[in-house]
Amino acid sequence: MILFIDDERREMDSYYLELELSGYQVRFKTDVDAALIFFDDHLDSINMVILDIMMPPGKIFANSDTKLGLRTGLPVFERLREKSPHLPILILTNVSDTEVRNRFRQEDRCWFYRKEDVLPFELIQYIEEILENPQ
Amino acid sequence: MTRNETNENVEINLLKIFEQLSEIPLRYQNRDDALRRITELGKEVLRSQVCTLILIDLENRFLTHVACAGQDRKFEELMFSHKFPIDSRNKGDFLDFEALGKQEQMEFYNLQKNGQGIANPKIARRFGLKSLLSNSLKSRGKLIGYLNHFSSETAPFTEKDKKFLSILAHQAIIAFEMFEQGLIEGILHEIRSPLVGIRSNANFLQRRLSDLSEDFINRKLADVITDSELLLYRVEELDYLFKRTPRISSKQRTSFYTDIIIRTVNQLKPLISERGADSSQIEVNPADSSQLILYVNKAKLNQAVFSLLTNSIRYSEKDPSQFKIRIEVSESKEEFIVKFKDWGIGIQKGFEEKIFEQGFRSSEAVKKVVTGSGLGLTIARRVLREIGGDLRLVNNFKPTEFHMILPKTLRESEK
Repeated sequence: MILFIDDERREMDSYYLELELSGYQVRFKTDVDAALIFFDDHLDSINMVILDIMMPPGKIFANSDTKLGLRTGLPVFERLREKSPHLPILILTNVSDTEVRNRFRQEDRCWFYRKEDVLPFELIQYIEEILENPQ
Repeated sequence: MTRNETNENVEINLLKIFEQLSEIPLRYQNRDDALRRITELGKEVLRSQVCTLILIDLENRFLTHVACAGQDRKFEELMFSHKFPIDSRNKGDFLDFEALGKQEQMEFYNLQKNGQGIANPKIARRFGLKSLLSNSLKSRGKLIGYLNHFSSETAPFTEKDKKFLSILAHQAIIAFEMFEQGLIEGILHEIRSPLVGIRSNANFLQRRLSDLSEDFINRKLADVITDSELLLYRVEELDYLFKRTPRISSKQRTSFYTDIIIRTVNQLKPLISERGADSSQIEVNPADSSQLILYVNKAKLNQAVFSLLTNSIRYSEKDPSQFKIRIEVSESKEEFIVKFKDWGIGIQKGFEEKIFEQGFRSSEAVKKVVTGSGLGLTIARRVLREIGGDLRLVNNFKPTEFHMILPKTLRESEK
């Protein structure tokens, strides 16, 4: 199962649909609190997470340094990694800050893409490659 | 700081304050909080009774922001409500200059000659403040405001204080510029997001067209149209931000009900569905508004209504069953009043005017929707004022109620 965490449900609808039509089981979560609860409850069945960066911090990260939500994806990523060190995590975001990109590119089993560079069918290709190469 | 402190302690305190100052632009992404913190630190070091930081817009001749430490909010409000600047001969460097006596005018000419900033002496005097140390704030060569320190003693400031004030002013400018940059980044994100939506939807439709039902295709096309409208409004925001000369706008016969309200509700249907709500939860009484025919720039009025309704949708309660918007029209002798009521998260007390300020977004708004330009209401009010009307917030919560004032003269077509 793929867990898709992004607060912009409408804008990401085509990506979600393309994943479903390609045969993936996808759960879309628009708020990080619900996403992390879902993640904890389904740890064993989640094969991959697609994660946005700019999102409301919710209750869990209300006091974290999320730069008023502009970088919420960073603490979410850390939380996911704590629970699942080898889970593939694909960052899909509008953030263009190279510092943020480099931060994620240093991580193992983590891929960073900007939304404007990836069309829905291309996302499927990237995911297929990632899931076909477990390590 | 007290006079009993040793020099060493004073230096350590100053170092700590410099450290705090340099962190301000990074720690505070909210301009108001950053500028207020600067005034607090300034007051502490300069032993001033009051420190004010005012930002001005000389081009449009109004005061855009006041941060204040050392007095209660009344002082801030008083400064903010004061007419400013009014004298074109002085290129707006004076606060309410014409309201001053001759001697006061001379005093302030001298202050200007000495390169110091100007503050309103009447307000200062009302609060028992006798002397002033002031520094102008310039960004890219343009005067953007003043940082003022008032004291109840006569001439208590030293040369060292002046140096410190210039450092403070420098930090205030950095915070201001970072805020401006953040504003642009916010708008860019708001442009990228619908663009990604349009592009991915178009690509998806092209690749999957034969697999999709007609209903589904229509829903996707509605998404594309909404995203395109959003993009158009973002471009207007950029126009506003870069202070481009307004485009020539023509007036058209406009039915407020069909051309503005119904059209906008249709544009926003995908956003309403995204919240799990339904456009039928927007109540409009056609009997109220269908008779309302105006000669206005349709697109601009549409943008103002779009901004209001977008906010009502974006800041609605999480539970979609609570989503409700009601639009009513009433009239007085000279005006039509269109009332927009929603039952969303509301607007915090004290922010009634701030919500119309360029780039202002409350922390509650940011918690709900991270990005946003904070220009929607600013532009909506400007659009209304340009046609002789206004936009006012009349109730903060349950319902949040805005009144759009439209003068009845708009019923007359131009000959």
